[in-house]
Amino acid sequence: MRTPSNDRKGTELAEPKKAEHEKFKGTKDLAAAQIGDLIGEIEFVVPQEMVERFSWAMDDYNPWYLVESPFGGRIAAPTIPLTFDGSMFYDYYKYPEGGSLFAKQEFEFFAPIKVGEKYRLRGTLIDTYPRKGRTFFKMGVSITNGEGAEVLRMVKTVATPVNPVQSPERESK
Amino acid sequence: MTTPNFVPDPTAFRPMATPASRDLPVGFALEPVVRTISLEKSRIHEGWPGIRTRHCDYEAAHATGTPAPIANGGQVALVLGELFIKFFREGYIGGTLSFNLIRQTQLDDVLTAKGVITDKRPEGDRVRLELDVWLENQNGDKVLVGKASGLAD
Repeated sequence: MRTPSNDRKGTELAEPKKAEHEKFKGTKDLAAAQIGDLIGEIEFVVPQEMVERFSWAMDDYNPWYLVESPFGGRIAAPTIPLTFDGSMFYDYYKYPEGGSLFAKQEFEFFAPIKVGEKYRLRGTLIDTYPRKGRTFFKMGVSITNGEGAEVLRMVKTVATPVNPVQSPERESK
Repeated sequence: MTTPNFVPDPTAFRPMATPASRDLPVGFALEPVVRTISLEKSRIHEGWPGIRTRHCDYEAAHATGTPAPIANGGQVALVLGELFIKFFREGYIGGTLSFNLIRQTQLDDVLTAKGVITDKRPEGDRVRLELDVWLENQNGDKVLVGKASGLAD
């Protein structure tokens, strides 16, 4: 197998240096976020190259990912869809000056994500609440296959230090 | 596109010795999955050198205020995903998985994914197993905590 260089010094960047907030395209003010906001909608395919690269990166050579699964064809590892909704939130909302934390991820699996097939991912704001001086935002994500059937549901929660929006304080979520 | 020089080797895969079954008791501890996210493995995950992020490149890390690359949370989550699908096999469909990342994972940390059955209940003609799941580093510190469920025959 090819082995990437283990050079710990790093070399020149392929792109100019960017601070974390400069990596995203979002412009909508988080303080004006409304439940029901359509955060994004994309089509995606899990390519064979990605599945192989992640298997190699994790030394996880599950034949369901690389050869054949009981579901017919190869499938993606359960958490790979995280890759596709990762930047969606801050490509819609403006990244807050005080930074942002990834707080929680939830999955509900209805059918496998198959390698090479086309899926549609739709993210909407489903909840927002203040807790311990931060505002938490929950993005609900639904992934449907080519026939329109929902195969996976996800909820991503991010926490920001922006001023709490109008919502009752909750102790836990 | 196929990853250059990648040779799939299904023989390198070792199934879990005791996968999910309706007969497993509450309190049963899953066989752990142990993985190390080295700089080399992080670079493979990120697609380095074409893609240089704070997870695989020192200059990119410095630009975001960290002295060295840190593991990508998505890559850390893959370790939990491996435990989940190895245990439940086909029964992960109909299942759930949720987690919080509670501590940063440094490159070369040794991550151990663990799980324990906390509840079981009939669901149709199958049994739903509920689990507490977590990842620990080499110091025994939890870096991720969560819940999982799936169906067993």
